[in-house]
Amino acid sequence: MNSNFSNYNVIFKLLLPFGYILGFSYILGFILFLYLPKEGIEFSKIDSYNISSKRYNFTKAFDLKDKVNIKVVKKVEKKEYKLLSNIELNAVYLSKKNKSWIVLNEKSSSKTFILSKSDKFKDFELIKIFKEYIVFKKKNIEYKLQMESKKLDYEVLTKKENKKQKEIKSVNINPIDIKLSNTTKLGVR
Amino acid sequence: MKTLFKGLVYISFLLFTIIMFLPKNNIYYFVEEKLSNNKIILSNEDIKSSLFDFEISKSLLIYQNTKFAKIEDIKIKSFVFYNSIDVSNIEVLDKYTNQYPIKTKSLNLSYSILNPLFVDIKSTGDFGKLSAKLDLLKNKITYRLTASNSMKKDYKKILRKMKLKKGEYIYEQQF
Repeated sequence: MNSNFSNYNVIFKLLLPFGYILGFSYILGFILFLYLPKEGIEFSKIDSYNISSKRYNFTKAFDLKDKVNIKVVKKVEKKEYKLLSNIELNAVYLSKKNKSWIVLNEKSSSKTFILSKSDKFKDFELIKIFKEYIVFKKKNIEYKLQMESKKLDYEVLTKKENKKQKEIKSVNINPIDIKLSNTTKLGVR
Repeated sequence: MKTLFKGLVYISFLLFTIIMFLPKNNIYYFVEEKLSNNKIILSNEDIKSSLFDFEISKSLLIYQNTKFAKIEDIKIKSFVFYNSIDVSNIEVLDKYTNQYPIKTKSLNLSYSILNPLFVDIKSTGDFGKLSAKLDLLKNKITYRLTASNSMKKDYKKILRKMKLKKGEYIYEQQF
């Protein structure tokens, strides 16, 4: 019996250090397990910008009034061409019907324009030519442009043109008003 | 002498048990995390771990957010005195096929205690036969490639970077 026990003791003594080593390495493995990550990395190609999203409509949910978006619209006003202040009548050539012509000078560009009856200058139609002034028309409004007295070196008159002058007078034009303001309404047709 | 022998036995047993109880999956996740910092990800893989080896199968290698290669099988074996990594059937995908040879049949990395300062690398594939040695002291890899005909035809750009010596293309890389 004693020899059997002593045999067991010898085996136990031999195996005990291995048991310690086993325990030690198991604890070491467990500590490593606690420290290391528990999940791997997987590649997923989901682009965030592809995910559709909707904003929760609070105003609808709580019966609130929607904000009224006030759009500031800038109105771009077209500057109307001020005919009478921008041009001056340099010369008038009076001839037979529809053969008269005039010479205009634009002050800003200092360009010279030659126009005959029913020609258009910047949307203004030349409708009447007289020896001292001419009449443009735009949107049923007539504009009278008078020649400066200094530039009037000559005059040619025919009976027909005198008649036309009378027509204009009947519209009640006040020449003083023309001098005061650049644009003067002569009358509406 | 007896105590020296006992010591050796205890140490080797300790190493074996440490390898046995190592949380291999978690170590793999840790390595995966480190690789992802360099924009290398192994995805869709199946993992099997046993007492002394670890296997990754059917994985997809992703480099810089694009699929780089399919890898059929990676086996990592560790027996304390001899460790090896065996990779089989690597297939380069998509846009990288123009830059690298498409198929690699096998890639083997082995480290033995008999040659502790070097890691041996051997590989075969479309490119031919490749053997390389990783010098752990100098941090240097020396590649020796016996190029196949298709490699010589299609991937001249890679071969231009290598030195031709006695029919072998040699390339050294410091890291």
